[in-house]
Amino acid sequence: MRDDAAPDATPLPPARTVAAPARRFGWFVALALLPPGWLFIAHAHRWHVSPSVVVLCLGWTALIGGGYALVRASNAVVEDVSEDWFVVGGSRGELEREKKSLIRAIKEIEFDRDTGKVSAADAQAMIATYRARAIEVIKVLDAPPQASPRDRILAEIQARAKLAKVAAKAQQKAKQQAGKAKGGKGAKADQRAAVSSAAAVGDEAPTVEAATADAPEVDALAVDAPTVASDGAAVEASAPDSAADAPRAERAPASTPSPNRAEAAS
Amino acid sequence: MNAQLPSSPIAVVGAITLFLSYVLAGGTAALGIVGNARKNPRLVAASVWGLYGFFATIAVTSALLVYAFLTHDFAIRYVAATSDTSMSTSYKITAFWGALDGSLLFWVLVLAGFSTVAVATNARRHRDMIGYVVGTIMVVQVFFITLLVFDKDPFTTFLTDPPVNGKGLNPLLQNYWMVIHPPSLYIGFVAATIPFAFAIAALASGRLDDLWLGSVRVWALICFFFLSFGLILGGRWAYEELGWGGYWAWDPVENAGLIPWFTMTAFLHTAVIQEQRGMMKAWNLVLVILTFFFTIFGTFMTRSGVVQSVHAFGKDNDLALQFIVFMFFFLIVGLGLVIYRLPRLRSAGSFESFVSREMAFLLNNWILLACAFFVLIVTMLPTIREALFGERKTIVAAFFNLFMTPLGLLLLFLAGAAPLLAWRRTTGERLIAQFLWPAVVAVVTMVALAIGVPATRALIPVFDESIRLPVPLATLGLCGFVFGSIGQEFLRGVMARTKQTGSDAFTSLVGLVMVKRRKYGGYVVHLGIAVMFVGFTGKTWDTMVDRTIARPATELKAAGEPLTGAQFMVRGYTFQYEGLEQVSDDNKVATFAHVTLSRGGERLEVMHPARNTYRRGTEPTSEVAIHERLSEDVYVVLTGYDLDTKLANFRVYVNPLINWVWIGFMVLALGTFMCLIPQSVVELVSRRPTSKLGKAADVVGLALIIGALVGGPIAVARADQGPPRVAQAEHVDAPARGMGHSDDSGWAHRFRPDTPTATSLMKDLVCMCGGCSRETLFDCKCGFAAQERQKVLGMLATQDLTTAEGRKAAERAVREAFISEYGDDVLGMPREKSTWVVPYLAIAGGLVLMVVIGLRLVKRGPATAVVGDPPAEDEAYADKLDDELRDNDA
Repeated sequence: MRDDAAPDATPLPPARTVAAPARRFGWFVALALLPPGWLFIAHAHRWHVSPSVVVLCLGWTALIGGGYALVRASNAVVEDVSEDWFVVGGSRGELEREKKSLIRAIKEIEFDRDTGKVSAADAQAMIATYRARAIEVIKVLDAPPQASPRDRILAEIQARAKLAKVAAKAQQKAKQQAGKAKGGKGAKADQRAAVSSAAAVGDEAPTVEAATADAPEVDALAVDAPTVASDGAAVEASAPDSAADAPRAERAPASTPSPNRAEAAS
Repeated sequence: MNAQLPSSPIAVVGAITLFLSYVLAGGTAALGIVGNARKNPRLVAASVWGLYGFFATIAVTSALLVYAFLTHDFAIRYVAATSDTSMSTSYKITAFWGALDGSLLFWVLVLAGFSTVAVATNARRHRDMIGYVVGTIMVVQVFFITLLVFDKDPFTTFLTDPPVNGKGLNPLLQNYWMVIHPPSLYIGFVAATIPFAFAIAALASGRLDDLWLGSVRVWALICFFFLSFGLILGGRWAYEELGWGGYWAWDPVENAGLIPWFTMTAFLHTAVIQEQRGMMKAWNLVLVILTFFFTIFGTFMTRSGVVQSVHAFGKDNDLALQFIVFMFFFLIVGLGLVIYRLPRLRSAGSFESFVSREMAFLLNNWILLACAFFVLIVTMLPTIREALFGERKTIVAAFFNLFMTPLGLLLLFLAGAAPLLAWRRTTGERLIAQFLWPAVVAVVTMVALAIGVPATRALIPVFDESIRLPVPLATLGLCGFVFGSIGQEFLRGVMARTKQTGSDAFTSLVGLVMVKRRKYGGYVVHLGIAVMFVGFTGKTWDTMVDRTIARPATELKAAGEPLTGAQFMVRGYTFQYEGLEQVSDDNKVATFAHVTLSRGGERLEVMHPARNTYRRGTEPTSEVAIHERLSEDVYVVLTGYDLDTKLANFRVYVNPLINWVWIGFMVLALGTFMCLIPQSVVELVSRRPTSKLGKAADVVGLALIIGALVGGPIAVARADQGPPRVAQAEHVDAPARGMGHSDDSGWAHRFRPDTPTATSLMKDLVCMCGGCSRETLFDCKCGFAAQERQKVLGMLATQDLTTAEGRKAAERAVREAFISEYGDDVLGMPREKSTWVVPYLAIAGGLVLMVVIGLRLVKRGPATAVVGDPPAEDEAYADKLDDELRDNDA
């Protein structure tokens, strides 16, 4: 039973990515099994609805519910689950809670001041402290949101694939131009032109960093990533490592106190 | 071998589902813990579904057992032992938890239901630790279900022919209060497991911010409410059914519910400190672990038979050992995790002053914990003595009262003082401004009572028999202080909100209560506690009188004799014994006495105290008759009778202010409900209706709420003019307190004390009849107690009671005579120095510890307090913060 505590700021990733239709079918089967059981119990008691019949019907309902839960439990073991399942809100959620807590504290002091519990001067001094902290928290929260590790890895893969595609196109174009030059005069000059053109294309082609610039925090991962490979094998090979490291990277700030809290603790 | 084996399909299926639940519990616990430890979401998700499945299987098991009760399946031993065919359906369902085996299954069922709700509503929010939550809950379940499967299986059948009819439920339990009293206590106990599981999960996962606190607050409140409800219902049951005129006698089983109540109340206060100031993180975890420990300890006390009580189950040493291992396993694991995580549990804030709300809460924690440990130690003292010295010592209620009275008064003072203090610090000037009016109310109340009601100046011993203080006057004065304090808080709160919002006073009051419902709900709880203390004070002036009437008024009238022979008076009330009547049914023979109660010539009602004799040969029980008024109750017990001569013995109690205890609880419940209102409900009701129908619905809803709030107290008040409380045909029970000795012969009125010295002695000497080990000679209704009273009166007759020295010498002589005959056990108040020293040490040690910790923390405080001007604010972000503050109506 959840109370009125602050809702998590960051939307949770989907718990599972498959089997929604199967789950609905399971519900349907479970619900469909209930009436026949109830009717059978009532029939066995000659349609006389007594407390014992009601208790048996409740027992039958629980039995079906239990069966459904056990089927779901066994399915859960094999269902596909997103990698960041364990990440709940992360540091952002914690900061949101801290902000709400600070706002509550400011309002509380204002209320205490209005009811005469604290003097205006004391209230002002305490509110100033809390305001300073709250502003720091809002500043951090206003910074661009971090993508989840999964999104970051996907963005990196897409960026590298895009880069490889552009590089391949440029190479193909250079080859074509080189082929044309072989058949005509001034082949050497054209070859030079083709090579310089390919180089120019290569310059224009986005780097991993540039291609993934819209995916925040990607540079942090890009540093660890192996050098760009045209065949993509190295990219794929690096993904699991990144994925394995990613939750750690995401969780780290959660256990680190915010600058304000660290200041307070010191 | 012609004996036919009894067959019970229900028992077979029940045993299978019980074993399935056992396997499921173990598997789910492993999945949750391993899944969380290895960060495997599949295992954690499976454990969550496993927990739901466990609830379903245990629900099936419970349904089968209830079905067996309803269909009289006496092939099952448990059904045969606790029910019979003559019982009504409601009592057959009650029989489910009426004895040890079923009560353990009921415990598992309630915990399974609660944990399903708690996990379903928090699984997404606490994904990173929900596996540990499930694991902890299921380990607790594994313990209880292991007991059920291997030791206390409620589906065990008879190996030979089953009986045709069952033995029936203990008459003591066949009562409407007992239908709801045990479940409410169980719910309170079980609800403590949820905060405990979240605390352990937070410690195990390292997620030590206050997120877990927000999720368990509701469960802590549920635990607090149901423990309070269970305790008050137990009091009401004892009052109506046990026939001793009181509602609380520090019975070990009731104490078992009170101890976790203290620690949970302490947690509810310090949780606020953590939320507001980020402090006391480790302490909150310790309190949650202690509360859980005490709930299991309470269960252990009730079920293992280590304590003697009117409603403890039988003695079972094996069970006691298993409980001890389980309790200490969790205590060591819990506290071990706290120690392991201690470096990460440092407070974000610190105490800035001794005069602050935080300090008041800390003081309140000290008192509550002192109460918890004092009650625990004294309750267990007879058992500890028995284990060490081989003899069980009875400790009477007066000993508890010596210590609990001053501690209770301190708590009462804090209930009024804490709301007046600000967080962090309160300056001297503000302190005076806040305390002035409540203090004036307290002083005026005390002066008015001291002058107008001299009885309030009665001196009551506190801490020691030689220290006597005007406790009733102080209590009522402090109640006035709390009323003044809470009233002022509401008034100033409404004024402040009116100023802030510009709305009228009523709208401001509603807004204040809804927006700050936790704070003002808590104030209402304090108010309820103060009202209950008003009721407790009435105990000072209660009266107990025993009378024997030889001939009823009907006979005297027929003989033309004056009716005064059938009358007696107690505190202005006239009782006229009209006659005896006997009725019977399949279950019992009930003998009623008809007594007309009048006062000042005005006839108030005809009362019908009764005694029931059961056909199955169980001990006779009393059915009391109560004339309830807000000012006082008149309580009549038929303690003996002679059908041939129509002679009847009555015991009459007049209990002033007792109904304020129940009314106080209703106020407490209201405050708890206010705290439990979810934000979604507040938002729903905050929407302004757009249609006339919606506005009308609002008005009707408001009227209904006000009606319900006012209706409760009115219902009690109406008892003044209510119909006579005739014993119901089905309402069978209420034994005289002593079990194992009959008091049918009407000895209660014999050899009553005739001097204060005799009264004092009889209240200190315990009846050694063997059937009523917790009753004094003054209270006990048996013939043995009457003989002992005669002995006391005889000894005193030879003593000089005219001087103080003579009275002291007489008391000493009588005590010595009884000690030489029975040993120290005959004394209700322990005389050993060690017994007295332990509570003193516990209370004083706690105070010293608190002051030391407080000094240390306060010294640290100024370092983090505001020093100098704060840095200039960034304009853009300051505007943003102002917007958020404006939008937030916290």
